[in-house]
Amino acid sequence: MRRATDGPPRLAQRLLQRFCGPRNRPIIAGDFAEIHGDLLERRGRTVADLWYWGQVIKSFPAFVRNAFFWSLVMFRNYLIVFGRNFSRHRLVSLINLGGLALGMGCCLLISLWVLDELGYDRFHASAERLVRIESDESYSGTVRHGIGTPIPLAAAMEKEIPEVEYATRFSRFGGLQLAIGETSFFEESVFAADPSFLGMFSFPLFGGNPETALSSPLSILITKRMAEKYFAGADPVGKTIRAENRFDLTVTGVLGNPPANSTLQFDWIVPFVFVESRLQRMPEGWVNAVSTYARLRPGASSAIVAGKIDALVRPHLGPGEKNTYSAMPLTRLHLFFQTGRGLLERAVDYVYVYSLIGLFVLLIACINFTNLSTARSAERAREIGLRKVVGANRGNLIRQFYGEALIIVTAALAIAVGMTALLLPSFNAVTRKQLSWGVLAAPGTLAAMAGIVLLTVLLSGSYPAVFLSRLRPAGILRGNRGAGFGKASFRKALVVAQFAMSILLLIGTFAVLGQTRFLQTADIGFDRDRLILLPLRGDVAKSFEALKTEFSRLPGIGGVTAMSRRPNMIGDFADDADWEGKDPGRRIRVVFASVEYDFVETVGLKLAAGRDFSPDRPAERESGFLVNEEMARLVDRPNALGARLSLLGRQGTIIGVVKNFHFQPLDQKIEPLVLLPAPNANWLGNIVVRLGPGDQGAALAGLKDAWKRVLPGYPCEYFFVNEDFARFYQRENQMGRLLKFFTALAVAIACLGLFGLASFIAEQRTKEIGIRKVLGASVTNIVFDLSKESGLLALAACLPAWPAAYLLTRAWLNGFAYRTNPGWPVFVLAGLAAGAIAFATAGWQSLKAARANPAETLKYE
Amino acid sequence: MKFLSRQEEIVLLSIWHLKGNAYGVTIREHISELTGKYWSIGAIYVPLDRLWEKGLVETYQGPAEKKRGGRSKRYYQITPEGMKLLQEIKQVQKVFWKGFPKVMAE
Repeated sequence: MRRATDGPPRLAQRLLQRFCGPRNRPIIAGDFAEIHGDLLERRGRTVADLWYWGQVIKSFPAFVRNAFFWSLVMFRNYLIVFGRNFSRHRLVSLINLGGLALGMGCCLLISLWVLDELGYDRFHASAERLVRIESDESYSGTVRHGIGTPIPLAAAMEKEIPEVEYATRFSRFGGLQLAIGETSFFEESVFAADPSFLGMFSFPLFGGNPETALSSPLSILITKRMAEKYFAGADPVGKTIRAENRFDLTVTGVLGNPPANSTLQFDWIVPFVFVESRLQRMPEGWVNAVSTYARLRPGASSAIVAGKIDALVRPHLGPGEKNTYSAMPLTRLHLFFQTGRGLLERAVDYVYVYSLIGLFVLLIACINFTNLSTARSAERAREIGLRKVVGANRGNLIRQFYGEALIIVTAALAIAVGMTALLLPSFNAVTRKQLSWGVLAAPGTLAAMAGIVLLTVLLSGSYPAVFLSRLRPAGILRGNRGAGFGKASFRKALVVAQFAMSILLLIGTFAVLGQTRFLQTADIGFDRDRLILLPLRGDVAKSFEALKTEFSRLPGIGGVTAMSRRPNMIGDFADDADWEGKDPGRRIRVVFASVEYDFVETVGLKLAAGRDFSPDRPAERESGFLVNEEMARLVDRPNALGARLSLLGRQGTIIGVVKNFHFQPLDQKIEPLVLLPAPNANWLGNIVVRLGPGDQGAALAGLKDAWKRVLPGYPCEYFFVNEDFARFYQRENQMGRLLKFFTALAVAIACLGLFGLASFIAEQRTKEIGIRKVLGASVTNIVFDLSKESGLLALAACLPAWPAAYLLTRAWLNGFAYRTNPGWPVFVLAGLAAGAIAFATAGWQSLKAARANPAETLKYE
Repeated sequence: MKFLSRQEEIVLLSIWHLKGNAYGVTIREHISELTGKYWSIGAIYVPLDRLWEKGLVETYQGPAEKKRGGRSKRYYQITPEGMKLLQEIKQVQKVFWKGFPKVMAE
């Protein structure tokens, strides 16, 4: 045993201290130490230590007797009293229990969601050293942040920057047409990566060598789920997959499915060299074109690495180009830098919003507990008085009341866990998470549960514990009930707080639902009904003309065209634009899309001036541009028509101006846009078909038949632009649905509490009501009298709720360039609804009391 | 007049004997020597606490000592009431013991 001096054994000392009463603690320990020292001198270390340990052991039974025996006796008493109180006020107790269970269930569900959000990408072995390189391109006045990086960057980083351990390009490149034996199919989730990919990330590789799996250009890695789908149990390693009917790729390994909480999601991985050397012509030089990921060496600073990347790229930039780079930690990507929708999203805001909602619901449930406990204090005052008289101190009482809260909260937790388990499948369906029941036992969840229990006990039990333990026995036992009846004003304040939170949630729900509806129904500048898209994959694009001819002949087809992406999400392909009269010092990048003939008519755009491209004027195919009104404004001439414009190396003129339409989600402003005829079939991504009025099913069947005639061997896929919209605004939709659920729950819990309180007050005032009735009060009078206060409290709750709701909804709505602001009617409505619900809840309870026969109520003593 | 238990009486007398040097360890040693029996520390402190509660002894804290693991001693001293009580007890005992034979008559 290690010890600093010649003193007694440390552990024994500590134990002995624990066993002694607090008054004598240092003195007795000193005595023991002195005797030990004495023995040490006279009889040696062993005897002294043995003697000391002997003392410790001897004092143990007495300690146990004192510490446990008496607390056990008291504990049993607490339990009995708790049980009696619970069954005496069964309704109120069940309301407490149920409210807490609902509140904690909500909290638990939200915690699961939050934990899952926070845990993204942490499964990699050295997650904290993984980074994604992101770029900032500066143009005159604006900086465009993106995840594009130069194609040669990864290799250069590995070679030139000592802090970089691994670097890989990792990019999706539009999918591959694949064939295994006779089956041919198209897969979108195909990524190109460098060999370092397998070394730096922790995606398990089965049946392959991570060192060489991506070395040969003609290799392919597939995920487990794809192996099951296409190889049905057989081992795919070593098998051949034919890509684009030209290349025979060998399966060099099977990758574990990327976990749901991985930012990188893929199903097929081919070597980047394969794409680069055989499949596509890559932009030359150091253009920002692919994503780059890296693993830094331990202790390396990402800021320094970013600076070194800037230095690496700088010599390759053209005059006037200014690109800088940053290294974003992978573990922060999901929360702070998601690349959905072609823009960066902050999921962390939703983490805050949901946490706040969970806290609110829990708080509302806790307030129920506090209110109902203090309201009942009169009942318990005698018990408390007596306990104090026979010697309980405040500490004992505080512990007793915290203990009671703990029992109820623990029981509520058990119910909440059951509730969560039941709700988990539907919760998954709404949130698109894949949480299994196993997460309920995960260490993070258990910690969250412990946290929720602790928080709930503190929030709900503190006031009763402090308040009830403060009662003065003399006053209570003399029968002075008024002294022990809890502060009604404090209870009222808490009710106001409850309803303020409910109103806040109500307004928030209205705002979110309003905005979601707006997002999906707003006029976006073109008619999105009956508009379908057919993806043109790989070689299929070459058959566009043939398909168009076939489609146009069908009945029930309103128009056929094609374009690079989708009319509702044109993407952010952009290039430096130049036009007559542009300030030569400014560099302006403009978003562009390639289209086919009949684009304006099929999509349903409106022309502000000029005309669409037409096969009658073949010269315009080479030199014509269509622009939107924003672009026309940028060109800044009285009439943009005929203005010279150059983009993508094409010199041409503007032949038409289309009215602005939303080619990006509504959280982004409409930017300048240039439409140009597709230079070749590779520029086309989707056929756009407008269905005519008439039978939709027949038209779709006709399309499928026509497709089969033109392209036998290729599957015909299509989707409606409207469905696409729903996918777009998933996050908002999800939030709307969750908010609806949680708000309903919050209001229900608040009402439950009010109901309990009202029933309690009605019970307290039974006699008063009887006397009032005898004196001539009507039932209506009494009901109104008893419940108006609740209604008024709920209305008073509007005062704090309105400004808070205004600020919060505005903060959320500010993320959208186009939005609906909830008007004052929403605020008023939410307040009135809360008031009415509160009035009705209390009224229903007081009606029962008011109807009672006074003869019955007045004789009960 | 207050009565003391035999243990309390012995402890109180030892404190008087030890004069200024009465604290847990010395009291215990003193009693063990005189009675020839083993006394545990607990057996000392319970009567000491009781005497203190009755106001028969007072305590003062000594300085911290290295020998005691950095802890101080609590010295005990008889209060005037304690002295008075001891005298009374002696008086009473004298009366009670008067004439008791030194050697048992067979």
